[in-house]
Amino acid sequence: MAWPYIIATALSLGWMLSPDALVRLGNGVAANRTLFLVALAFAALLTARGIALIRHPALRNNGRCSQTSLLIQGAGRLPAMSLLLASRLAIVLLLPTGLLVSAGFAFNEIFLYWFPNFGFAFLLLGLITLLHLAGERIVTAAQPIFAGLGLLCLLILCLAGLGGPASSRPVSMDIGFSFTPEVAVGALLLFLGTDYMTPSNNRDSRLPPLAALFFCLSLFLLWAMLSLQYVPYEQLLDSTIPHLLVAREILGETGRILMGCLIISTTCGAVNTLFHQASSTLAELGERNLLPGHTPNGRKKRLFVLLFALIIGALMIGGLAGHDIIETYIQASLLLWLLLFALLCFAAGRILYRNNVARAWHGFVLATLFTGLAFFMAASHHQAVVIFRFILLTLTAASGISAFWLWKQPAFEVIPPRHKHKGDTQ
Amino acid sequence: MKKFTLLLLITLCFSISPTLAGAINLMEISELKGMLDSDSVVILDVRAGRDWSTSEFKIPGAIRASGEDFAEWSTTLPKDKKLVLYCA
Repeated sequence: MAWPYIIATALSLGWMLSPDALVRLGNGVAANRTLFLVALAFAALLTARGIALIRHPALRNNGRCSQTSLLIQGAGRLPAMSLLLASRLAIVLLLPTGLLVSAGFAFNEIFLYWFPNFGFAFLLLGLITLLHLAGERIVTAAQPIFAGLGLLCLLILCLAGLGGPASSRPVSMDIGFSFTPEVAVGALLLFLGTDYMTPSNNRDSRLPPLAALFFCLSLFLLWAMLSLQYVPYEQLLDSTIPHLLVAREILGETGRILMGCLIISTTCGAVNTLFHQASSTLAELGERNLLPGHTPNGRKKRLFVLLFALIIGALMIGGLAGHDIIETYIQASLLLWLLLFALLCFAAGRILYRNNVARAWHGFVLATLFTGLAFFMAASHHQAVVIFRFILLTLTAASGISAFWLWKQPAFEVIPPRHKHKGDTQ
Repeated sequence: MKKFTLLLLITLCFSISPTLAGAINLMEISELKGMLDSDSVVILDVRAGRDWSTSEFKIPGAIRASGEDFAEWSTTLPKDKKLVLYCA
């Protein structure tokens, strides 16, 4: 009974537990110190409100709990197709390219020095691709293992940190006022990923993302406080591996090994989630006759995954991860993801408003807030021009393709039958 | 005949390039360790992107010098000092 919920929670945790999220957390708490904890709580609260809205029980029949249906009915086909294609494809191609290379380095430097880091990155990419080629059941069964291992490592480190000497004699003292607005707002990006999974069309779909949010917020708060207690904030602020520094300070070599395990398992979890998310979205668009070049009911998830793996492999060989620009592209992709969440809130609010549901206007407020904050984050980035160019280009390309397809195939949109199998996704 | 000459020239270029590259010496880790505190050595970390950011191993005091910005930093370095570049 609980298994679909566990799978959905684990899939929601995909990005949140990833090493990139931990880096953002470490740098964020160093920049804004205690105020960042407030920002984290506020960001989680906003995300929870968004989840409650897009998973509102009144929407369950209105599109069968599917994210694509919700967007199409609430925002229209063109915006839905454009933002889904742009955000899902950007994040699935760019984030794994960075994450896999990071995992390769972690394996090389923590576990086997003679093993080539790129070789390990490709090994992980191959493993995740094989899982997806093996089928949906294997993918969803593997996700709780990846997320569970990551959670366990982080929990052990947190408990060891609480019992350690620095918890009574912290190295960083939060004196004075330190507040960087763009870093505080960035806390919102840490909780992405809760917009996607539902355990079943018939059950309450709010529970898994809210559970994931609660786990993550608790762990983030604890880890952030421990980070400040164990490592001087000046060091955390400048570091590109703050999580490794904290782990090393808490448990020495054992801490490094635990953090290495966490990096590898959560990288697998994040890549697995992103592959699942993007291939399911594309398959659902294809199923509805809304994906160029696809006949209705032709669910080609495996083909999509193979394509993602080939492109990511090409990007890794091409050396994208070896360029500083990858961080800017990843930031832009995360902002596109936040914009998708904003559109989901808008669509949910609109449908609920039409049905006279109380507090439907929350959807419009949240959508405006998320869009405004995404704009602020893009504008305050040190490579704002690149970010705006990337977002505009991706959205223009996706909407151009979608508009052409809707013009070419205006006749019908196929509404797929309700899926009845266990652990139904979306 | 033209083709043969061209082929000969290409072969010559390929055979010369390793000789030229040989002018840049490779250094053992142990050798560098002994020079870390020396003022006559400038250590340049030429890694970029995640190659640099996700690595735990960074030589203290090394200057970051990305290959993309070679034209920028190459002119500012002291010519009288030994330059050590590392990428892994």
